This record gives sequence, C-alpha cells and structure tokens, in this order.
Amino acid sequence: MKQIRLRALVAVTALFWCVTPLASAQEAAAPKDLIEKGKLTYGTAASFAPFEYTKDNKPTGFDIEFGAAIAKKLGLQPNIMNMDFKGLIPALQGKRVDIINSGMYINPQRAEQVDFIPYMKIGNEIVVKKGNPHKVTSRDDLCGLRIAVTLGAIEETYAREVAKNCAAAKKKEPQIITLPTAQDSALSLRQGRADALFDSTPGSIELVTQLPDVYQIAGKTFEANTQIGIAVRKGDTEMKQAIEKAMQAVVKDGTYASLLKKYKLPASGSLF
Amino acid sequence: MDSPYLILDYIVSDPFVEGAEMTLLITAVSLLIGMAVGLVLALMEESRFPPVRGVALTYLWLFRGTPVLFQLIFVFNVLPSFGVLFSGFTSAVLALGLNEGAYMAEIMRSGIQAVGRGQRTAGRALGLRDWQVMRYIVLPQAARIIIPPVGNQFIGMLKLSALVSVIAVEELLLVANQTASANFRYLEALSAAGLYYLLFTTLFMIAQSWIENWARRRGRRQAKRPLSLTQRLLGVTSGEARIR
Repeated sequence: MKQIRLRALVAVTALFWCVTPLASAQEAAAPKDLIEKGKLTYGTAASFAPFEYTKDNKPTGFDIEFGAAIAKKLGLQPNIMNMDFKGLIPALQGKRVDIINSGMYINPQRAEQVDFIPYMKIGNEIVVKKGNPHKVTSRDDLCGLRIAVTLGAIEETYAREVAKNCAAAKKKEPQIITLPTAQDSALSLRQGRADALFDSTPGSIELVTQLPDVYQIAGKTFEANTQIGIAVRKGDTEMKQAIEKAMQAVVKDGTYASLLKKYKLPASGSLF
Repeated sequence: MDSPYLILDYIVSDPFVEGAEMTLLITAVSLLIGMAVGLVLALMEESRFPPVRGVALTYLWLFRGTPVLFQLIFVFNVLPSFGVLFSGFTSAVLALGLNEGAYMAEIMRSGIQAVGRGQRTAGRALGLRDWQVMRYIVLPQAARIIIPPVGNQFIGMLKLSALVSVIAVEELLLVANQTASANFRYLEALSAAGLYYLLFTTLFMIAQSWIENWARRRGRRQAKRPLSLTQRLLGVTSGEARIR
C-alpha cells in the first residue's frame, strides 16, 4: 500500500513540474549572465514620479511596472536596487545590476558608456514657484537665477547648457545647485533656495497637480523629442536582445498601452 | 587622455582647487565652533549646579545620539519649515560644529580630569580662586594632554566635511562627483579628490607632531631648573609642588 502511495506522489510531483513551465508567461529566453540567478536585477532612482517613486515604502511607477512585465516575459523575478541617480551607470559598469530601468534620457555622452533600448519619448518643463516671481517664460530668462537639478541627470546637462548660453550672451550665468534626488530639488524650490527646476513633462504635471499652490509650469515644453531607454552594458548583445524581445511582447499584449494610460503619460510618447 | 595625466589635470583645475579650499574652510570653521562649544560644555559638566550639568548632558545625548548626516539634513531641510533658512555653507558648519562640540566636550573633560588633584590643591594653597585655578593651572596642562585626541578630531572633521556634498555645498567630493557625471571618468575624478584628502591629512598629522613637540619642550623647560645644594638637602627636588 505504502509503495503505491509513494509512487503516486512521485508521479504527481513530476507532472506538476512538467506543467508549470508551460503555464508561465515566459516568451523570451532569459540571458545567462545574470547577477543573481532567476532575477532581473535593475538599478533605479526611485525619486522621479511618475516613472519611479516610492509609495507606502514600496517602489512604484511606470518603469517599475514596465520592468516587472519585462522580467515576467523573461521568466525572471524583478529585483529592484534603489540608488542615487548618479550611481546608476557606475553600478551597471561595475556589474552590480543587470540593466538600468530608471527613465534614463538617451544622449550621446551616455550612449558612449552604455547601450540603450528606447521605449518612450518625453519633453521637459521648467517648474517655478506659484506666481512665477521671476517672470520666467523660457530657458533664456533663467540667466542669473538659481536652478536646482539632480546630480548626473539630464536636467544637469540642460542647466549647464543654459549657463553656457547665458555666458555667450554676456549675461550672468545661473547658479546650478546639484542635489542627490529630484525630491531635494523640489524641496529647494519650495524653500526658496532655488528659483527654478527642470523636470520631465509628466513629472512636472504630477508635481503641479499634487501641489498647485506651490508650483507652476513656466514657458513651453522643451526638448520634446528626447527618448528614454533601458540601459545595458556596452556590448552586452545577449541582454539587449533578450530585453528587446521581452519589450516587444509587453507592447504586443497591450500592457505598455495600459500602463501609459494608468500613469497619465501621453500616448503620443509611445515609440511603438 | 591617459589616466594619470587626467588625474593631474583635475588636481590643478579650477573647480578642484576651489573645492579643496571650501573643504579646508568648512573644516576650520566647524572645528573652531566645535572647540568653543566643547570647552563651554566641559566646564558645564564640571559645574556644582545640577541644572547646568543637566543641560550639558542633554546636549551630549542629543548630538552624540543621532548621526551627523541626520543632523546635517535636519538643519538644511527641516529648520526652514520653522522659518529658519540657513544657506548650505551655514547649515554645514553649524551642524558639523555643534556635533563636534559634543565630542570635544568629552575629550576636554578627560583632559581636565587627567590633571592631578594635587595641582588644584596647590593652587588653592597659593590663594588662587577656583576660576583662577582653572584658568592658570588646570587648563594649560589639560591642553597639552588632549593634543593627540584633538588632532584625531581635526583629521576626522576633514573627512566629515565630505558629507556636506548632499546639501549641495561645492566642496571636494561634490566637485569630483559633478566632474565624473559629466564625462564618466569616475576613477580619475575620485582619485584626484582622494589625493587631495590624503595631502591634507598628511599636513595635519605633521602639524600635530610639531605641536606635540613644542608643548613637550615647553613643559620640560618649566620643570627642569638647576637645583642648589640647599634645595637638595631640604628634599625640595621636584620642579612641581606636590603634596603627598
């Protein structure tokens, strides 16, 4: 009797393990060279609403859910490493993370260090204190003012460009205040330590919607065709192809479009 | 550009030199505040009145009980909501100085206690008042005793100054990070900053040994004087008044 029961148990277990892979949503082969087996470890700076931010102590946002969907297509668990933005590329190059999934803008300097897989295009805004005390209407009005930016982010690059343009026009250069996170920049603006900050269009809209008595958007959207992408190590074609395949699958089954809607991102930003 | 040349290039570049100057400035001002606060606290701890001791102990408890980075961010980000808006530099030296004061207080107190009780008794025997005993006899001797731990604090403060990079003060570490994030040469930018810190630490250590030597020679000069026969016969052989 015991023998039969034991064999039945073994048979059921074997059957179970055969069926489970078929039931998973894996649609692309997982890359072999992962930091942690079975997990897609990605670096993110969870201070950039609505792409990645923390709510109730958990990371959430478009990139977080997009990353989870991509990981699922690869049959992996997402493993989020939350760090300062400026530490993302060193972490990727130092093999502490498999990819960077942090709404990273694609520009030539970064493209020399990492390979990108673009997935959206977004514009940028200038955010000022409610009432626009310095009467800012465009980036040219920022000469001589104080701009708060995230260290290492695209905002810092844009701010330094503004400084260069002001110097060329023989006007007083803006003072660029570099802070660890976008939250610090927003707080600086609120406290009066800075006169303006740069943020992505969706992020600025989020900020102004949450605190309409404190912030307002000044001027028009600029650099509206910048693309953001997932970054992989330079030359890591295996990872790049795996992520691309998984991304296509996520777009195909409509998850991408529904996430765009959920986080109130413009459908015109889709690259697919 | 090759690594070593780039490192040297960074070391002599304007942003790094200005960052190094800012680091030294923050270190110096914070230490001055720290030593002043520390001395006051140490004397308060030795006071006869319990409320005065209580205030000092509460200060020590608060400032040693929370991380320096916490205090820094608190002064910079939380005080404005109470209407107190300090600049980055002011927040930095205030937080670092007040924190340092707590540690300096304990160092100074140990120096004061290390001066033998006989010294105070001798002072009072000579007719000096309590505050004069402290000012002319105890503190000068305590100052010599605490040179090594205070030198330690100097060197520690130099490194603590790197924390203020998170409140956007343009000191050495922030300059290194900004340079690295612009062109991704992390090794070279951070090495340049590291070399500056090592240079300053080395200079501090040399200065500390000079000061120790000077203090030792000064002490010896006052103690060793040639003794006359009468003094030796009467047994008055030590240079210090000591009551057994």
